[in-house]
Amino acid sequence: MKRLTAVISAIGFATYKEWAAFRSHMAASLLVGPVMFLVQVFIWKAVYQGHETLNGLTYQQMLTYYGVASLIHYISFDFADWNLQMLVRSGKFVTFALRPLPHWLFALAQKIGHRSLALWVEVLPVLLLFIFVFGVNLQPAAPGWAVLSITFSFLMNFMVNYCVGLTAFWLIRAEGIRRVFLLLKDICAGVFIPLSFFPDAMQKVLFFLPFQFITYLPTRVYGGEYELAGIHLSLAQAVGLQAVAVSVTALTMTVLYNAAMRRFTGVGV
Amino acid sequence: MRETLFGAVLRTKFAEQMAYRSHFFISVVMLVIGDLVVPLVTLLVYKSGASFPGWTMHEALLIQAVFALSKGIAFPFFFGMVGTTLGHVREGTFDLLLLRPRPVMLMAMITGFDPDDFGRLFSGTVLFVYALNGMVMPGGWAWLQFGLLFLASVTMLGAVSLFLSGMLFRWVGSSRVFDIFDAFTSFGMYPGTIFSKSLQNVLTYVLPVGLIAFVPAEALLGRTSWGGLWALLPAAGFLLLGILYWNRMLRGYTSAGG
Amino acid sequence: MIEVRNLTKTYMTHERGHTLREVTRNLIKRPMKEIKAVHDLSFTVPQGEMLAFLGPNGAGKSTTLKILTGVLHPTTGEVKALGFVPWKQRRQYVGRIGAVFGQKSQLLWDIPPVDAFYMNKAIYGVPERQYQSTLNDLTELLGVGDIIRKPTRQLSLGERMKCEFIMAMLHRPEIVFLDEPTIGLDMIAKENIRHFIRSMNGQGVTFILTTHDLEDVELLAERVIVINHGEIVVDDSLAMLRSRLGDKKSVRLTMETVVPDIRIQGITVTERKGPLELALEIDTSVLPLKRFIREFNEVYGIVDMAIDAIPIESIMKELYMAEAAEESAAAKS
Repeated sequence: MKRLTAVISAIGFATYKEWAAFRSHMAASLLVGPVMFLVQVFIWKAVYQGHETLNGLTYQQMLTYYGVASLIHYISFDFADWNLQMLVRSGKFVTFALRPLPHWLFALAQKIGHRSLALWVEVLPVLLLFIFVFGVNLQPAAPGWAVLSITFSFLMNFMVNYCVGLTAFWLIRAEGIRRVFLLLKDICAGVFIPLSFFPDAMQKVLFFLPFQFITYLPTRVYGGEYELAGIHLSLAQAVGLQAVAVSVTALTMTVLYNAAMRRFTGVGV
Repeated sequence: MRETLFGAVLRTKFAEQMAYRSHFFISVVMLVIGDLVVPLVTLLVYKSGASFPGWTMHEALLIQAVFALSKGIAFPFFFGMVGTTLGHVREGTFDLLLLRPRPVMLMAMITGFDPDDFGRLFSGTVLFVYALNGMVMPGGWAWLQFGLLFLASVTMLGAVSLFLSGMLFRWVGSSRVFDIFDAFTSFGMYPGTIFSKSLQNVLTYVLPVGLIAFVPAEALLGRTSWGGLWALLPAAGFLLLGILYWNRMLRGYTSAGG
Repeated sequence: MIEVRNLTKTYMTHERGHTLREVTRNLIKRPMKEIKAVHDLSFTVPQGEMLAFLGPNGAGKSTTLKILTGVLHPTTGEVKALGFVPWKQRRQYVGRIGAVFGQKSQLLWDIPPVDAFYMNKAIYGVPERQYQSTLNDLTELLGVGDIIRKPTRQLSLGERMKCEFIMAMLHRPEIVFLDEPTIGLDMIAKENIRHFIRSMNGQGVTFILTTHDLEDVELLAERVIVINHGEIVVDDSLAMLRSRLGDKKSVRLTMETVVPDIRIQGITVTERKGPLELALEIDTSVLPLKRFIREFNEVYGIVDMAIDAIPIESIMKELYMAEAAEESAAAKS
């Protein structure tokens, strides 16, 4: 266990340093985040004229939704899929196969590393801008549940992306398909609009897909109430459901990873 | 001479794409889905009983259709240079373009030519036809105004490409320029009237992203007088600025020795 | 230390089209093709040896290397290395080996090598004390004192390659695999790297390398395994490999008078440059050098002369060619 922590922190620290060389790229979020948010403010201000609530959300709650969703996006962001497919395609994956450590753990440690940098370069400044410039209420309803839920979102996004990256062991030249999938992932996660705006039938489907656990569910948990497809859950229930989803995805990822390794050691890709 | 050069590039690029037809197909699907995200949000808003005040759903979608159409024309020709500069400056291979006996800007533009982006014309047309079906057919003058302003729209996107590409001579290898583009242009995808009056002015005259879609769409809806054509000026000005900025950044890049 | 018996690896690959129609058709039925990468390889490598795999491109060298490092499963056959079956006990095994791939960097591009070293230290669980002393030894031996603190992207290819070696050897591996370790390097960097490999080998580290650079082989390897078409053609020491082709010398001459097309036992003319300059191969078991020089000098008059051992290139060429000749003969029959 102690060894594992040392490994994760060493890889994480190296990645942190690597990314720190590109702080300015990350800091672009200080411009992009607020500008995007400003657009949302105007859109919803107009849309809410004459409406108290839309699909169960008030105007203030809607702003909180977008504010929290973008913060969670910065916390959970990674491109594990891109990275992995690049390693496979360039043949560099072999250098990882030669280290006594499964690659997914390496990738997860990398994510922990660059997200800890993002925490103060991206997340914190944007959070402060949202609170003090836009006056958004970003008080979590229950901080404990919120933190837990965001942690699960962090893992969930990593595992989904990593699974997408693992497909590179079978489909070497399918970068386009992977990008389409990731875009659909964002739509189904509720990045662009809360999932409660989708037609009922769609909501029922979305409820059972893994994507709502990346953005929609943690954002709603942050706000204090969860509802999708007519299902209301208490915070404990919602986070519990998320935990189940995380375990199932972890299992899926393990199976897929092992299959990929079998393929790698069988064919050498 | 220029035609033949451009014709040659066009031919090779298309041949390249056809050699990887499945890749081309998927990449077009990707662009179409990407273009339909904002219209999807608009649709969902209207389906839940809300609206942008003073705009029907079809009218709002018309703006987004114009946006996609304009991208469909401007992106294949201009926007590719952003990616080209990003890659070449990062790899240090931009010098290859400087070695050609042609204007560098032209070289950057045509080597970045990207037929995939024509796929946006598909999503744009589908949306456009859908939007027009839900409203009274515009008259001839409206079409004429629209035509002129659409030209301004394409010009704007060309200018923006120059700014982003120029920025990349300094800000080496940052793919965040695409996010910055998306963020700023998203103002242009919605009815301008939802923004505050001062912001509307900024979006028309200072940072004319309103020109990309909102202003032409408004003309087509018969909501502008001929005075609205003054909007062509900022577009031209912006293009000029873009060219100046790009050349300045290029000089900075070459004199620094790469 | 490494024991390989009857190692065979065959792949099934499908032929995949890239047009839309082919891709769609291949979704339903994929034409399969069997490829024999290596066939029935057997050899052993004792501890402390320096072994080179040679062979033309696609001969099966990297497949062999990948199996020996536990990255690839063989189809049949056995491998025992350091007491492990590499692909079965991969995790324990790779902790005790190292690898350097000339074209696949392990370093992190934007930060100094020392940070990447530190990361590998944790991955391999190297204790701090041992890490420090190993790092000191290695940096001193390679003469890279300060550069390990500079960002990797600012280093020259030679400096980077030295750092790759440090990265691969921090955990004091017992076997080190090198895939084209000197590719693209200049003469001095090559010399440094080879010196490093020799001195590590002197400390008992086993090295197994693949290369196309025959100088690497001449200056490093004690033993050479030549693989062609997935099979071992030669497994011998370098000296024996040379003597296989007889006791031959290569001689370059400049003469006083024109030498006609001679047919003397033990002499082959390999090259003619102008009327007075020529290169010969002399089988000294047939025609001793002493006699050759005396007779040639008397008849034609020697102005200038250089005598060398047969360059390894011609040995290799002969080996590859012999294979090809045999094959075409087999194809005809």
